[in-house]
Amino acid sequence: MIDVTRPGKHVLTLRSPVMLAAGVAGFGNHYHDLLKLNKFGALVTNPVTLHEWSPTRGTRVVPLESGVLVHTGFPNGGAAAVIKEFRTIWQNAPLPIVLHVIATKPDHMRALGEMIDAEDGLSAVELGLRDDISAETASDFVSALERSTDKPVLVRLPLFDAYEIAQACADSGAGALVVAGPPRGTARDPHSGRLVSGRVYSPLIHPMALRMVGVLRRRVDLEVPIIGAGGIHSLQQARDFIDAGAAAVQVDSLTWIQPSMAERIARDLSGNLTTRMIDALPDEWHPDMGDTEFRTLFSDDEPAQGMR
Amino acid sequence: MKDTRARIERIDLLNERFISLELALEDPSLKMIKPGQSLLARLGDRSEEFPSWALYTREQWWPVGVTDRDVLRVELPRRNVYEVGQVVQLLGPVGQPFRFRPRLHRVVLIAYNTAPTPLSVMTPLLVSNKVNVTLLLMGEARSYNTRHLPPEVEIIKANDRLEWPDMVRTMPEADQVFAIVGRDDELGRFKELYQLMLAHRSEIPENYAFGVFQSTLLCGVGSCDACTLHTRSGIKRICTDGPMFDLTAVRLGPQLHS
Repeated sequence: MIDVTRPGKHVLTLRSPVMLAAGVAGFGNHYHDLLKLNKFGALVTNPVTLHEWSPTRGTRVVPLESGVLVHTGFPNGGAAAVIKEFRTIWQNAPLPIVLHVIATKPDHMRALGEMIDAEDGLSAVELGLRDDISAETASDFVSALERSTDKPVLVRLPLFDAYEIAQACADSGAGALVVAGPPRGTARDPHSGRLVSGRVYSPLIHPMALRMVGVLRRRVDLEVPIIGAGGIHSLQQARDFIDAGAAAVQVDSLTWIQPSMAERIARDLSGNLTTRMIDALPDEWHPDMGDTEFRTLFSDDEPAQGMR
Repeated sequence: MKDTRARIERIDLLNERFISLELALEDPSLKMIKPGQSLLARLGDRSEEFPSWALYTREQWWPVGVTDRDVLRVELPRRNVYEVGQVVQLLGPVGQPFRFRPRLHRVVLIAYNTAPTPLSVMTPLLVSNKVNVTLLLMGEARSYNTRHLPPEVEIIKANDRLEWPDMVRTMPEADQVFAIVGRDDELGRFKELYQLMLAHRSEIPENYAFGVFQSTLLCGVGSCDACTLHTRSGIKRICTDGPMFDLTAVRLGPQLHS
């Protein structure tokens, strides 16, 4: 079991350090037939606001070279409606559920915190901060939410402002910092010819998010767990975040594109795959390698006919 | 819903812009896919450990039938290079089957500024059930080569003003109309077609005019909220509730429904 939030009255403890990121797996009502959800540490829900938000009109998806830009408008029926609709699913979920809330107004954060506090199906709350937010404003949001709920508060930082606001969020009571949310970009929709702004998902996000995790982890004054997120598309990329000091990771768009790989990463980092053989060097071994394959490649014995 | 693989067994050139692929499925249950349902596909590789992400989002492939060798056939634009033996990852079936009225006699299929592939999927089923099928090609869809469609299908090509001979009878005589439009402005194009239908009928009843939406699908399971649609009964998702929606229920614009 892994504690991914600061020690305190309520700690978010996970079986696996691999979480499903906000916005990729709905509210726990999807992916049951494609993924073994109990192999993941937690599921962060799609974003929720206090009041209803409608979906955006027009282009929602712009395919990019090695990635995708998504602009949904974060549609949701409002916290009360969402909680009412999914409460039973969360109570019976095979993994902890973390409700992702969008930072809109501090007052809204207080109201949301009180609603979340009453829900035993929710294990924690994740606060999503917008790009270009000041440290002071971020601090207001985190404090408002943290004071209104006893549940652990994860704060998802915008990638390019993470360094500036991390300390303020930690000082305001963040239980853990998620580094980072998908950065925003603008791209031309090939069908309509219009420019569309939205969240960018790509394996190319990984090196930037990884660097930010490393930079923040080396700051000795930042005594808060970090959860690495952004661009994970392979087992190694997930391990890179852990090696950089992250307590856990969040897998995002890989879940849409190759759900089986998302589950493999969860199984691997939970220790459910074969552990490394005692005489295998790291560059000779991969997590799925069975004994036969290893011996075939590296044994000094004469290989059996047809094996090489 | 399955996340599975298939191997390309055969590639046929349908016309200058479209090909058909025959897919040997790893999971044979996908052969039961129904007209209206689709597959999300991307080229795979042997290892899956380090796949190429050059084509990041999956393409939406529309099955058009099963061959006599129990192989699924799909039709798609010639956007990428495919080779026999290539492995593709498939997610599906995505969406709901088309819904037809009982006692159906005449159906009009409209393709406007896009290929009619998702609609032509239903033509063998309709023709075998003795339903009269008219395929109306408008705008850029007029260049679509229809030689591979069943000969029983009546093909009409509208002129640049979206008119065609005998148009006063085409819409009123149809029991159901299914339309598909270009992806540059789906709601706007459907609104144009809706108004065109209104010009030839006193009213558009429910369960008469259907739009088949082709938004780019990301997850295919309803979780990513990237294919939502405003309808009179609330927010719907094209990947799980669609792709076919009654146009009288879709909020096409302020003048029509809202």
